[in-house]
Amino acid sequence: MPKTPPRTPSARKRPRRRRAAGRPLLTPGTVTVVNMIPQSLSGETNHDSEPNLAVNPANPAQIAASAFTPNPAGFGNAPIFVSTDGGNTWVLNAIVPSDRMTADISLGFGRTSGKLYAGIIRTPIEFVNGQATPRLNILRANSFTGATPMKVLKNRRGEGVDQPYVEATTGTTGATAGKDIVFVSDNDFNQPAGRTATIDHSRKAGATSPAFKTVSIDVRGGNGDAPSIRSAVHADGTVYGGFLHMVGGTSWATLRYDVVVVRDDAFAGGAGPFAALLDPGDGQAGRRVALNRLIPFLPDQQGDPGPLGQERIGSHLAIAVDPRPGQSGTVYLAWADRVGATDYTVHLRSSTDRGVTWSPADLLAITNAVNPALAINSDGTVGFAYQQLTGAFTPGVVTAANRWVTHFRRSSNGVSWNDLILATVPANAPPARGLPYLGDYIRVQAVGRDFYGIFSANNTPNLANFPSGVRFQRNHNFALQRLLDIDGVTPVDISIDPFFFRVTA
Amino acid sequence: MAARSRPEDLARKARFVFQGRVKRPGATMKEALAAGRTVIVTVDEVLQAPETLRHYAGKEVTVQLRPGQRVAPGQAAVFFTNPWLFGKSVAVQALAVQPPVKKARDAVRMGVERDPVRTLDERDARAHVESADVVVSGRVKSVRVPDAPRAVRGARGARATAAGATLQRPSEHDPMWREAVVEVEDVHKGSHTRKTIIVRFPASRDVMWSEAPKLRPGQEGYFVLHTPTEAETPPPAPGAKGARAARPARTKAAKAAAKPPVYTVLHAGDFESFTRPQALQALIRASGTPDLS
Repeated sequence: MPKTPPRTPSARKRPRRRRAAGRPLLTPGTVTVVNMIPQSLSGETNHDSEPNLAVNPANPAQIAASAFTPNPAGFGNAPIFVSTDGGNTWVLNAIVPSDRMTADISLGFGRTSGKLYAGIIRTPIEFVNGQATPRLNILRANSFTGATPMKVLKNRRGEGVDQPYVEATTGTTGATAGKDIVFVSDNDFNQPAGRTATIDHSRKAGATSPAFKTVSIDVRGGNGDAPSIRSAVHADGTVYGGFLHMVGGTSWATLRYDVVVVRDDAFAGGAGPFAALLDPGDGQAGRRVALNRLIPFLPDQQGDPGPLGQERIGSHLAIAVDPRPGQSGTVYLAWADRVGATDYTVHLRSSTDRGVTWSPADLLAITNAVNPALAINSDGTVGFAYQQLTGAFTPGVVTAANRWVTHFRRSSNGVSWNDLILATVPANAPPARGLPYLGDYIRVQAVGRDFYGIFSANNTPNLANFPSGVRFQRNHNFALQRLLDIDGVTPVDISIDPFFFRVTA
Repeated sequence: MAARSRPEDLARKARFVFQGRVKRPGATMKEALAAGRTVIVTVDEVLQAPETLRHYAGKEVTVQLRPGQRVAPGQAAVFFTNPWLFGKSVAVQALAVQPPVKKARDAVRMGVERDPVRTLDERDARAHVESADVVVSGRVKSVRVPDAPRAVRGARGARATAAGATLQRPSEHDPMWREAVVEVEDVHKGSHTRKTIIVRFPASRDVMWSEAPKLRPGQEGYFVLHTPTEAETPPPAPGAKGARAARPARTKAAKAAAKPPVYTVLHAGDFESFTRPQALQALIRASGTPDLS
């Protein structure tokens, strides 16, 4: 009688040869989830929301991350999280020139340079004519593990700038070969006629004192665009930009937007950048993927709670391009709007012809969700993360039945998706101290076949809250579901922490 | 030979002050090694610390010495430091290393044996008061939307809606300005002769403003106020009564005629409630007089 060979862990991870029709051919992958608060900060109770992440493509062991994490010393520069072992352990390094923390921050590495770029809203906030005017700083660290503060490459004042979001790469051919190319999308109130969706960009960002050009990517004008403006960059020079263009509304609760995608085909190096994609309706630059969507900006009154599981709503958008050679025409777009009376629904669509036409219906529609994040790996597999509120929902009310569930889904065809639950945590605890609660964004990045990501969540050390597993650096007791201070004895209140995740193919 | 800095002066610049004993050259975490000049020090007693370092007695930390600083294994000292890296362990950068004498420890503690976090809080409160122009205690009489529309609505991004009202462009960082009218009970520092004082604060709970005091009618406490700069002063609403006085007056005559400035509170330490007294009340009581000038 022939012996059946023993099943090994690696054998279990091997993809099945035969699969059900329509199911994506994806390996289950190995999932790693790490609470990023270092052991030395075991006593901290800050709400470290709105996380961001950058993996060095040239050395994926090097990862930088950020959140609304103040300098633990209560003074000095704002910190970033630093890992040099692929995200297994983290150190806080205060090298961001901002008073204790930032009011927004995102990160990106050059593709081959190892240089880290950041776009921040710097604190303290400056005032002009009595107005608080958030200022954009674009920063660079040649060594993100060192003690030298990041260099300020651009310091933009004026009417104020919001939510800078960094995408970076390194050129491979022609004039940009070997040069870091950095795009910082932001909502710039200095732009005329309400065309606030903006991309600051440099094709020599690694130079000693690089010049950044500031370009509004909204040609239509009006009363301004929503804060979430994003870009996606392909090595062949294709750059997509996505934003929400306001088209109506009489109050923050009734605002309506078009969802718009722009494209440039040469790293925005030409005279009229981001004008390559025309809308078939009005013939203007910027393809309107969805029209007149209701996107309430809530809470709109002082003191009101966040309407969705303590979280605010009003601007969420993500965009990603297929990084494979010859595949820059494939682009995915996600945004959130209201389709019913009280919901907030994330929509996912795609284009395979450089943004000219889009899937007419949603590939996925996720009710009561925030923080869509997209990336596509070197196999063309799409990674899609988001955070969904579950349980009976009443706007502005959160109960013990509500949970924030962080998903990471993958698909090789955009039709069939698998689903990893990274976290499912109570939405009513801890109580919000301010806004945002979890953050206005999270992030996913693909390097090779692997996906790396970050999200923020309730940090109760309860293994049931992390179905894909979790590792804590800070002192904890899983059996008692309790955080412990550095002395290993004193209980510590739960709070919001950033969590790193990695899904290897 | 340069004169040694006074411990009380060093303690103003150092967030983490402790007495410890040098174990050996090296580092408690690999990330600190590359920087050089590091030694491992066992913390014997924490003298002044932020909350996150309260429980570090008995722990080993990495101390990066300044160029020229010398210590030897087994040497006990008071380390005046600022945190540098937080990982599996903590790395700090030394401002100064001084002999572990009682005089130095007492100077750091400001003469009182107490919680090291409280020591830092009180030192921070002192510095905050020193930088303030006016410190008063009083009661919030009312909270209102400021007169000047620009201060609340924002000149930028405003557009007319179909109904004719002004719709402000949404921004996550909108401060949602409010003004509190405060009835003054005592003036602890500076000059203020009026019965009331106007304090502007951001009502927004956005991360940019979440630390700022959120004042409510009936609240009583201490207000630590800084004279607003011209940039911080909202321009007047067109035709607003007395609006011009909101800007700091430049001439003597104008100053005499001007209305008092509208102060802005943004720092968590700008207001301390009577019902939750912390470092500020202790500071005022310790002075033995309500006058901190």
